[in-house]
This record gives sequence, structure tokens and C-alpha cells, in this order.
Amino acid sequence: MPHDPTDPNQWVDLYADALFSFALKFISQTDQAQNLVQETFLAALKNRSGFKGNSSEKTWLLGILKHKITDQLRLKYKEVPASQLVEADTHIEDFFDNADYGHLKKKPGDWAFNPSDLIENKEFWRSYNDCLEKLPEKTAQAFSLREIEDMDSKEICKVLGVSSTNLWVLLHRARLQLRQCLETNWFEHDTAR
Amino acid sequence: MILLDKLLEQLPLIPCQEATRLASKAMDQKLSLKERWDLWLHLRVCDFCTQFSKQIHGLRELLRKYQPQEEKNLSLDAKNKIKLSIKGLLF
Repeated sequence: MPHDPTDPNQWVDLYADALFSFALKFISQTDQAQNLVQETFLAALKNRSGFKGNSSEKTWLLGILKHKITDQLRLKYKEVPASQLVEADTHIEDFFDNADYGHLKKKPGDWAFNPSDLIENKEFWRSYNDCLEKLPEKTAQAFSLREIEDMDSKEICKVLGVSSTNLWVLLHRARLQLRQCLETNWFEHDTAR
Repeated sequence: MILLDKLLEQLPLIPCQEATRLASKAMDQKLSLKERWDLWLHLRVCDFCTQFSKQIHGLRELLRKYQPQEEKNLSLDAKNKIKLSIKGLLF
């Protein structure tokens, strides 16, 4: 059957996996992510007139999903008591050597990559997702909102219910850990190929 | 430039833990003059942190261009459930 992106009957087959994969970067529970995808399709079909055709159907559906994700996150963190606001920012020191200059335990390598090559590489994104999954939930959410959504720091603080200082710690932790994980699981193997 | 770097090395340097923290912070927030100086000086003489900074910027560039793909697949059951739920809205 030829793909017709304008045919809503095909939207689930065409886009559900991509939407699901995207949602998982912000929502760790599979069933919750699934529900958001379902709600996205429902909302899209109820409001078909909202699609102006300025972008692709996929982009439009993704936009709806993004709103639902941030709404859900806002709701989730609205009632969190202050003492729980920061995930253990423990162990940042574990990345560093205690002796000498106290530099990172291993010298970061030279990631000679061309972004355009990796963008479409599903294997890479699977590795990336595996690494993302290892982060504490709010740390991963902060990072995804900042780096994928390009959301402003102030806005992220509102969505996640954290102070800006808390946010910097979360983002720093995310970068340290993701970088290390990707280096070990992807970039080091890549150069060996 | 080697002499300059040797001189710079004599100046008080922040530790790497602090430098990476600032390198990260600079990606989200404008640093103060002191922070910018501390970071610049450290990166000038520390190749570990310089590489770190390159990597996290490279990662940002990559993620900003990210387009959702089918990295993870919904089960057939899940897809059917969704199809069922939207059935009434299709015409």
C-alpha cells in the first residue's frame, strides 16, 4: 500500500513509533508514553482544522505531543515537596580523579563526527537512548527539554518545579554522564571500525 | 605561545571539576566576568577539559538537529489499541 501521509487512516502506522520514541525521552514509563501518543492522535483527529499544512503531518503531530508532554511534566512536579526537588546530585566528584589536577578520570577522546552522518543513524539513537535511560528521571527530562526542545532555562524550571541552581546541577550531571556513556558505548567503537 | 601558556600555568587555576561545571553552565546561562576568565584560563592549559567542552557542544549540535525516528517500536497490541480508540473519529 503506497504511503499517503495525508490519509489519517495511515497515521498510526506511519508515525506512532516515531512519536513513541520521542515521548520516551521525556517520559520513562512505557505505558504513560503510549497513552500520550494515543492522546496525540485523538487530539489531532478532533482538531483536524488546526492543521494548516505549513509543515508536515509528522511535525504537526509532534507539536501536539510536545504540548502534552510538557503539560504532564508540569502536573507531575507541581505538588512535589521542596525536599525532593533535587535528585541526589551526588557523585559528580566520581567522574574526577582525586589526585593531581583532579581532571576527568579518562581523557575525553576526539569525537570526529559529522552531525549530518549521525542524524539518520538509528543505531546511534538506540545507543543514545540506552544512555539516556541510565540517567535519573528528572535529570533526563531536564536535559531533553534543554537540548532537544531547546527550551529556555527559565521555562524548564517552571515545568520541572526546580530552581535555576538545581537545573544547572541536573544539566551538568546529565552532560557528564551522557558524554561518558556515549564515549564508551559508541564513539570508542566507532573509531575502531 | 608556549611561553605564554607556561606563564598562564603559574596563575591560580580552578580545578577541573569546577571548570567542567562552568563549561556546562555557559551553555545555559551567561557567565560572570570572573567565571569567564576562570574558564578561559583553565581551558587554555587543560586538554581534558577542552575536549570535554568540545564534546558537549558537539552533542548539543547533534541533538538540536534530531528528528524523531522509529528507534523504539510500539507493540502491535498497542498500535491496535490506538487505532481502535481513534476509529470513531475517522471518516
